[in-house]
Amino acid sequence: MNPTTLFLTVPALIGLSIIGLVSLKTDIRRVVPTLAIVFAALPFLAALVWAIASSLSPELGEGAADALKGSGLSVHAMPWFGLALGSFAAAFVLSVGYVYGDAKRRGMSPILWALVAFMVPNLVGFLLYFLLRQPLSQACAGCGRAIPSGLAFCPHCGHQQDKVASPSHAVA
Amino acid sequence: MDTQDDQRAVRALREISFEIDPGLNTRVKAALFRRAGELAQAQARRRRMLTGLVIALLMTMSGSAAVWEAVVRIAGFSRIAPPVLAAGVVLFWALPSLCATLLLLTPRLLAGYHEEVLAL
Repeated sequence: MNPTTLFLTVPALIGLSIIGLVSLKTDIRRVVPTLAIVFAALPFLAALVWAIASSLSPELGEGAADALKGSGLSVHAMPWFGLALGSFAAAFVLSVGYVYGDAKRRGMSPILWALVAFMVPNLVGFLLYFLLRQPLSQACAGCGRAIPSGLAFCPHCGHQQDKVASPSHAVA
Repeated sequence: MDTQDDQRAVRALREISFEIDPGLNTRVKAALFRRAGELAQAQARRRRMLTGLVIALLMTMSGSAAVWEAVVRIAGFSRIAPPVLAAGVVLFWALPSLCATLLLLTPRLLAGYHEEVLAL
């Protein structure tokens, strides 16, 4: 395995593991919006088609290698290049979708946090989200509206909640 | 005279009634436990923020290095001059990432009060 292929393996593995996680874990998949799954499927399918096609037809790989002349990518690295790019793009879209859905159910601003996750480079936006996210919200027993978990009383209707999860909100 | 004063003081003391609150001890103990729990939670949050800061710094460095590597390869077949590419990577990739990472150094975030700081 040459250094270029090794360099491409890292994003491919990250992408494939995130896609696998979303596909296999139902509780995670339920959070990701359908639109994000559809948008993620496009680059992934394109990558798969590209990987198979460029493996089967050397002319296709040679053409792509010619187009990317000077990049150091050989003909043999072309299927890997496509797979790495496609799976990483798909995983990125799925992750942004997860941040959107998760922020929504936690009573945070979903668009803002999805933008932070999308815009901040090096995936630091995702890290910030997971560090700063609020606890999961729960439905009020009185009015049914979403309220942060751990509150003793509903801020909307004032109904006393059954269970106080966090000691910081407990009534003395 | 002094003896009379003392006697009057003792009589007065006997007339003072003390009401003993049986729940007071329990309430004080509960308050102490609650405060200890809050301090432990704040400490755990602080530790989590510091760990996050270190991970974010590592991600910034390794991610920027990977992007730089990719950009050098792109420069091989593009017409953009390498100094322009380098400036682009620093300005639009490394610097925003570093700024976002340094957000975690905000004192109140470090102290674990992010829920009050970021009411997003």
